Amino acid sequence: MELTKDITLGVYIPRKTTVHQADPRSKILLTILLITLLFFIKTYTAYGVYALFALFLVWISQIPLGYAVKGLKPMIPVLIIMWIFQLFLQKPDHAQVIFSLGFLEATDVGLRMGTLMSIRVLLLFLITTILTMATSMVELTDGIEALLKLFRKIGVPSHELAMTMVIALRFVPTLAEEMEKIVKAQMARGVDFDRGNFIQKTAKVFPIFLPLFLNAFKRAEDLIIAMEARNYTGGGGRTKMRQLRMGPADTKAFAAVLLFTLILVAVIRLFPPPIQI
Amino acid sequence: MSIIVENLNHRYKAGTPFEKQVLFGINLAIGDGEFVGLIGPTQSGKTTLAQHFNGLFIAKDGKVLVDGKNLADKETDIVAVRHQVGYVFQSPEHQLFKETVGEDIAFGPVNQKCSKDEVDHRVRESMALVGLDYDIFYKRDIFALSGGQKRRAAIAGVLAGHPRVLVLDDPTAGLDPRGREEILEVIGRLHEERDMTIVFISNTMEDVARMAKRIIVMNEGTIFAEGATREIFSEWEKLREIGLGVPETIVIMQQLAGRGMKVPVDTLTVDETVEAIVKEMTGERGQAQWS
Repeated sequence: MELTKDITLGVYIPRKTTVHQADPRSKILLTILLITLLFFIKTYTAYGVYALFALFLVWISQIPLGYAVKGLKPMIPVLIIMWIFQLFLQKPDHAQVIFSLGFLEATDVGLRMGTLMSIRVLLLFLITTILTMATSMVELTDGIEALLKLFRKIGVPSHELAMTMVIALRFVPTLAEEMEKIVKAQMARGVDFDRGNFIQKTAKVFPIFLPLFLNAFKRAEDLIIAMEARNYTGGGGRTKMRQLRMGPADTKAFAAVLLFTLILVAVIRLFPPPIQI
Repeated sequence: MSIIVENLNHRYKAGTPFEKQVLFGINLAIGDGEFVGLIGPTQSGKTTLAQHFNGLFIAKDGKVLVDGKNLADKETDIVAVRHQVGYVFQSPEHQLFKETVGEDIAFGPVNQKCSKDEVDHRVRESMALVGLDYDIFYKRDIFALSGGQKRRAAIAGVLAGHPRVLVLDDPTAGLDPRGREEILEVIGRLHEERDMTIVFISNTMEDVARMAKRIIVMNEGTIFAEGATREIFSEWEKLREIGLGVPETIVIMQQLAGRGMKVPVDTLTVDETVEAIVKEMTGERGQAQWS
């Protein structure tokens, strides 16, 4: 009985690769760029090229691919439902019906959009997983805080936002551990989480959340006291122990992503989608 | 009801980059009606091992037999095993998940589909066993309990399932002296009067010395030593080496013996110690006046 091993969100895998050593600011910016690129892709060929690059990133950052993909598992049902909706509901005028189930008609445009969308979500997940697995939580927050500072003039509380985020992420594994304890305590007293139909199984989940939330609130209170005891008053006047610095790893990262962008643009131009979507 | 562990290995977070083996080839047997102490430094694998006894962990490498049934077998009714092997967790606040004491204690019997009368009977019975007054505490909010009361409520909740084996994970940790006394007294009574098999995990050597008849010492995922309580604690140097303490009674006797007093150095309880010192000093069998 181990719940924590299935949670990949917010897990950092310490290694000494170029991806790990790059400045968090560049990593965040490049991730945003890569995600944006995803939304301009409309062909399988281009997605193939993109996937190759993503796998290349996984490889050079020494992240075990199986582990990175593991976090996807709970998303699969959602993806399938999304795919089915696309398949049957996309009906522009030029669409051709492939087959029909009663009044439902699956179209070629729907098939294509559904599949492309699923691939897009998978790659989006993979890219962000590379970022979080190759960047420690502290670096990630420092990076976000530094980037948000650009918006401080228009009233964005950069430090506070970053702090909130780091606390939220920091407590994902803690809450998972807590949940494991509660689940075990209930199992020890005769709850069988594996037995029963879907509704019965769902009903068994609610008694886990009540104590979990109560504990989370208590924990939040403790955290507030601990922070105040150390005179935390927010971002004003705080200096950083670790200064962010760009280095050779960042040059490499920008060069690699730039080169990839050029190749991708070329592929998108050379291989237009066979049907209009 | 016996527990037999054969060549058990356990890997934590198996299949992730953080995989770590925490149990290495464990072999042990706990007989019916035994009182076994399970000690070892933190991270030695005590809790992981104990959670195999009631199928919270199912052995993937090795065997765990409870009452002759392999817990990894598909035919074994694991829910029934969990009712037979009660488990009191390390911190009671994680084990209490209902709002009132009564509801929480009733949780096990309700899951066993007991009749309403039977549930009520069991709640009364287990509250009496741990010394919580039914009329006062039945409707009491869980959060309004003291540490010692929470722990007793947690034990009552497990007892209401009518287990034959009781695994207690550090039940006295963080309690004040009175709370600790009360818990130990309850555990002793369950063993004496109800013939329950007890597995007592503890970091307090005095408690283990006083309660357990046999001790299993774990270190770094293996069984470091195993034997009668007196034998284990007489090898105190070895326990010190792996970072474990020694009961205060033995420390006192060691020092007295070091100064030339002819006293036994393996006394396990305060009474026994006092008696031995009095005997040595007066030259006759003295009776301890305080206990």
